[in-house]
Amino acid sequence: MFKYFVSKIKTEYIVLILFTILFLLFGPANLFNNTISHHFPHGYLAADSFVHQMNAEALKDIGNSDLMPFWRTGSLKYKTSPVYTPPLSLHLSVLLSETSGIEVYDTVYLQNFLFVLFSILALYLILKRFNKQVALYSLPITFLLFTNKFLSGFTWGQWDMYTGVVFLIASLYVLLNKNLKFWPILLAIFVSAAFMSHVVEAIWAVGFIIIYTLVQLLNKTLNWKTIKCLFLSGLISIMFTFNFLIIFLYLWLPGRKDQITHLVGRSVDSFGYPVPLFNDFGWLTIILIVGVVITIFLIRKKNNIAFLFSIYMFLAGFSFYIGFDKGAQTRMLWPLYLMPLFGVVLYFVFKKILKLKNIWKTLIPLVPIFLIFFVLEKPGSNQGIVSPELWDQITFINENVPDNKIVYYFYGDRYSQWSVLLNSKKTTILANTNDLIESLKNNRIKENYKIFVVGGGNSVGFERTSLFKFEKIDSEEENKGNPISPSLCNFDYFVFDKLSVNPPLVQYNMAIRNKLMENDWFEEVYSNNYYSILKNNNPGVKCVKE
Amino acid sequence: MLKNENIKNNELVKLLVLFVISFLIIKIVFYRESFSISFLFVFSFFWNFVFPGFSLLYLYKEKLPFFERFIFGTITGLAIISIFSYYIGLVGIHVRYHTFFLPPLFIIIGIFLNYLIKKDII
Repeated sequence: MFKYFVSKIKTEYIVLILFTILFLLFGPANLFNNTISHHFPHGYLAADSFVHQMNAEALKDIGNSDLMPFWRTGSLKYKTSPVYTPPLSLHLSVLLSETSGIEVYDTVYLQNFLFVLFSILALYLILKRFNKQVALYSLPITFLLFTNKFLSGFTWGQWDMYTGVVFLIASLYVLLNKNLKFWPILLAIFVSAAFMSHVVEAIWAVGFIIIYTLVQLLNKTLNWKTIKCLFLSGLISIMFTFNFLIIFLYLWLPGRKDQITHLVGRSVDSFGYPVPLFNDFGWLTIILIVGVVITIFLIRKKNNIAFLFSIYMFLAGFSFYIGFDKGAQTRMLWPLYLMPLFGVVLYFVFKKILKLKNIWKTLIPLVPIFLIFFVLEKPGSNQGIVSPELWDQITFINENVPDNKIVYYFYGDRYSQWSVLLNSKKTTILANTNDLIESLKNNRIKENYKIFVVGGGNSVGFERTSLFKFEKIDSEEENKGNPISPSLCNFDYFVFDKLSVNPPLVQYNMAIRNKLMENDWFEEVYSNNYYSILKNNNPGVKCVKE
Repeated sequence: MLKNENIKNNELVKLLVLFVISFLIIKIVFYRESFSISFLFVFSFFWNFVFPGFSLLYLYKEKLPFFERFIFGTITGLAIISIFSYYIGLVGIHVRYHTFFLPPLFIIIGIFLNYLIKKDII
């Protein structure tokens, strides 16, 4: 009976299904507390994640990736500006949200795990062309994507990368299948999608295509037809990416060039996020080192593309030492990219030690899968920056404050990750914490605090004047048209945190609040144990006697 | 012709089986989630990306195994649907409507490509 069952269902698929279940249980299920939908953004741990979320919300509201809404610009003057961020992951999350009814803050987060899963299965299938056993043994190491610094890519919001990687790996598959009709079009689709998801993955894809072509040239397996098809693929890619390519070259790149490359390299500690190191693989580092050595001997074998890619992406992770900063971010996906190295070592170990019959040869990779699943520390469910009370406050503002009014926030523990406040979808100002601290030290309540207008980006203050041209609206304007220390009496709503890990600062909050309430045109419109919101019914009238 | 019909019907069954398996996986993993949300999530993913992508790669049915076409078809669906959603949004059609016509459009394109291949036109 068992043999009959096995003869009907491939054992390999049983392993893949079990792997998929354990992989999702280990990672997203734990992070999301085994639910898909939540009452508020769950598990968001840093500003970047809210930026992605709110970019997707903006797309859902406006309907396209052309212009930003007023609450996203980070400017009191400019009510819109061109969208310059890669659009594909946003469109994917909104499509999922619109069809399923699940909130965008859930789909935009959860989709990353599905894309990584598909990337793993795609690389598995590519590696399977070399050897099925090696491919099966390569799966367990991917659990490390949810551990230590690798996990921070998900929780800190490096999300575009996870959309780009699935198309990067798909482009390898096309290189392996150049016998397929229309393969240049397929390659163009994947490279274009990588470019419009996260430009870096497209750079890695093009770089690998060049290297793989050179390897074929050295092996004398390259022909003119392939070169012509690659050229055609490039032209089709330009066609697919046309509009975003213009935005990238003429709007995004001029403002970010210095942030991407340096004439000299950077150290791992100089980035704003934890950069994984090779020894973050723990005791598995030894296996990977052995895998690198074995791979060198496999480079000239047939269907070796997965190993070549693995070495390539391993070296890419060091490129920030020679000036390409994005190489550091690539390391977040090393447990995926280095799968083949892990798989080949386990294959040699099990092949020499165990001589098993067919079905058990396929099932034995389940052993390291289960071992790693139960031994490694799983990520815990973390509510993240947003609490039910904060969400209630933000929702109140979203539903009750008119779009033409401005909301002014004073100190709050969570507002260092300012992009969480974009969720109110109103023009939002945040008082500068250092200025508040200085004023507190001087025992002074001021009318003019230094401020930051929540939102922003490189395109604020620009408009698209022609297909290839983006011009600054006001040539003299700095700081996105924002005043540095405007009078708070000019604004409409004020939010005061009542609780904090810094009691002196919230006491100062309350002192400012009480000062404003001395004016009879101020009223409290929202209050609970955590927050108080005041409304100024006479903006422009002096409200602070210093 | 009968053999091709059998292949086609068999692949549709396989795709539906994959849909059911995907739903069961999602229900097991996210066990605290309601049946309807889990189903809608899987349906949304299949409707928007899996079906269009699989249809487009169906023209490779003689050369590529089913599971490879499922995985890389889905990735093709992710790419093509999102790229076209981007441009159609710029033209003026609100993104909330894209899910109604983009997936069926590419399913039809996939069927049409397969027809052209069968007739040796391309």
